[in-house]
Amino acid sequence: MPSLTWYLTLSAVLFTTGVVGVLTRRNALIIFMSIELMLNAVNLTFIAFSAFLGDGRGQIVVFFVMAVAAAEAAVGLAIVIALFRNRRTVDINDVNVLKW
Amino acid sequence: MHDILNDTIASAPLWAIVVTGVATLLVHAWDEKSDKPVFWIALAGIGVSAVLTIWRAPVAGTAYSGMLKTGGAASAWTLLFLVATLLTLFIAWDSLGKAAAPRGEFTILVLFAVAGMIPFSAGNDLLAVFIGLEILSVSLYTLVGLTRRRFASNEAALKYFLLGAFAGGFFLYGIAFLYGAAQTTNIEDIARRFAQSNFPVLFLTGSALLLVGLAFKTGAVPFHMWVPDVYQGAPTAVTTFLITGGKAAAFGAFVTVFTMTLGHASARFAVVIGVLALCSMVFGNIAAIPQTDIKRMLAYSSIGHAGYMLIGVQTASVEGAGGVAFYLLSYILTSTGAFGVVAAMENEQGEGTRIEDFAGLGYTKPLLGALLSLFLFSLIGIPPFSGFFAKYYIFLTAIEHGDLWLVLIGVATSVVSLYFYLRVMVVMFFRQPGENQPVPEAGAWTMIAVVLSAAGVIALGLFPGTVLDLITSVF
Amino acid sequence: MKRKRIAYRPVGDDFSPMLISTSYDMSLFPGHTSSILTGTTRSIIPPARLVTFSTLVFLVSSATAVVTGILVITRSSALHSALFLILNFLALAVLYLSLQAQFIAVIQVIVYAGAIMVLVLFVIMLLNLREENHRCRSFPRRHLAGILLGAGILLIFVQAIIAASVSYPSSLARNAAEIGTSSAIGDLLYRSFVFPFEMASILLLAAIVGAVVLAKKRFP
Repeated sequence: MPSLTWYLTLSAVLFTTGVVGVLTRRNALIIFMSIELMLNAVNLTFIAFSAFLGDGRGQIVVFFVMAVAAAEAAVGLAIVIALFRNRRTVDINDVNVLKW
Repeated sequence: MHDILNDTIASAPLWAIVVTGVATLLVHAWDEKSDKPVFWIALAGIGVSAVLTIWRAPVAGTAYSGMLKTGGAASAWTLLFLVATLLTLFIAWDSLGKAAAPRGEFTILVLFAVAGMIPFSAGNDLLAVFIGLEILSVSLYTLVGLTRRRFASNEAALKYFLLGAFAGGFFLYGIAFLYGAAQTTNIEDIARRFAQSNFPVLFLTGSALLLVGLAFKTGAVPFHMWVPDVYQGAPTAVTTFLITGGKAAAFGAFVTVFTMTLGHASARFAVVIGVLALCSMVFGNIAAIPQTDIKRMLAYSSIGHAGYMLIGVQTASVEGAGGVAFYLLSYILTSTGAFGVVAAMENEQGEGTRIEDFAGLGYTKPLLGALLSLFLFSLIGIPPFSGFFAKYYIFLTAIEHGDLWLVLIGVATSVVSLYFYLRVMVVMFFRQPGENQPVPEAGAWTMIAVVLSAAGVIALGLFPGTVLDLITSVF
Repeated sequence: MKRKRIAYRPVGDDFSPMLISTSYDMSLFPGHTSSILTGTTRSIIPPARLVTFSTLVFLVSSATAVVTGILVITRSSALHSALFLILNFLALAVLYLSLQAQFIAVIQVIVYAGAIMVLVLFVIMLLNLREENHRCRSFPRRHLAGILLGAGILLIFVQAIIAASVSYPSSLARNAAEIGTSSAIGDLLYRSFVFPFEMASILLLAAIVGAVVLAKKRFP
């Protein structure tokens, strides 16, 4: 049986993958997906703690995180669409009227 | 059933805002051109909520099985949000009307944002705090991108969204670690569990991650990179809301999560928060100097002001929290006033916010010029305006707490800030207006907001002690 | 085909919790129930092989998760990233099942990998994006900085996780199977967590208004 440490470490690796994605990529959609990756890594931490500690609240939090992810996806993608209609780009290098 | 009823009464200010938000949404969905009724319903809802907040203020407690703090300090924060929202709505009515931006949608989203601010700043459970944060953020992302045809607005919305969601991920990871360390997400239970001085490593990691998320929302250095772009790119009415309500909510949450509840942890993190304060004060006030756009300049100066408020936060005391709330009240009034004048200066395309566009304002529009000077004096912290006492109380608390180094840097950076604030006044009074420079027309609602703010700034300057005692008494 | 039983294991009152956890125990995870039944099953199937199997499930799904995660952030086409992200979510769903969080595992597949990612895919197809153009072919300095920063925070996290590992329980909680059922989650959700539940409705409402405001074709 894998121990809690394994699950948490896996979660930390996935979280960091997401962070590196946000820091290195320039495509707004891929940055958004990297953030989804981070949220999922956090969910794994919650579920792992919940299952090993025998406490249901961690799973409730995950339930809400999914609602939050859905809401963020709706608004974030709408922003991307509004941007694309103006400039035909989702590359944040091209998005620099204001100083970045 | 009885519990639900009691809880609902205890958190009535929140539900008043929620009901108003839904009502405005329904009215606006019924008739798309119903900006005016929506505006009036929103004003009425804010009024009702304010009355309910004051009514519940003496009864401090928690509602919904320990999810939400009600009364007491929560009331103080709620009142701050309501003041900020009311003044913002006044400014927005004229400013968005000029830009032909959707005022109805603006009003609805502002009300939803306030519905998020209340649990964000008064949550007693990290899950409630997180949901509040996300309601606030989702509403603000949309508001920033509200003028969709302006590319700057799109850009600001995208940057705010990506960085905000990124910081939200860190905040959430922090909650996960705290949950693992304490087996609960209830803030008071976590604090009780770790009341002793040796903190487990999971607890420290979790708290540090929460700190990152909160520092991002407050716009403290080094998590400030979104502030100038978002404040400049957003429609001015939205910038006003971000800089007043948004900042108040972030500091409310900072104080609630760190100072008031995780008090012991806060002492442990005092040096870290102190360093954030130091960096913010120095960077914000120096980076504001070369700016040519007044919105961007005020954005950088807001980073500096976040630094001053963080001095109050890091003392982790009731006096510090009261000082922060007083500072926020003063800052809300001053900023809405200043941004009200900026909104009046703007044209339909959102242009006219360069500092040189203010040339000669002191002659062409003496009242606007004088009022803007008053707000700038208050931002510098010159007596007898409220900004002086706001800084004074925070510095006093910090000295009593033994943080003289922060106070010295605070005073020094305030002197630096003289330069860029005074420069605007010099341009206003000692520079001739350009050839085809448009003469600004301030709408009636904007003038009401600006004059109310000015009255507030002067009143707070005249009776600072009374107000501060009132605020501190609820903490 | 005992492992099939995990996915189709009936949830609810037709099995007693003890029976559920016992039957589960035989197939995947020994070690955490102390019933007499477990003892007998263990004698039938050698424990060493069982441990290997549960570890194998973890290793395969975690390797899938890590590899697909890296693919998400390295593909130049957003479409490929999205497809790998879905695969990543499915791998996580398997991990949730191995942690006996059945309800969340199902939601993960239906809501996350299903609804949310379909929305993302829809937008990618709608925008009809070209692949990210590589203006600078060489390895940009930004990438190096990002990877170094990532390595730094990973080090901090892992160090914290390992330092805290002495206080962890060594195996799944005895009631792990019960807390993951939809009835247990619903019970918590509508009692202790009714406030966040209500606020989540405001969140979704705000998101709907936001999406309409930002993406609708034109204002009147």
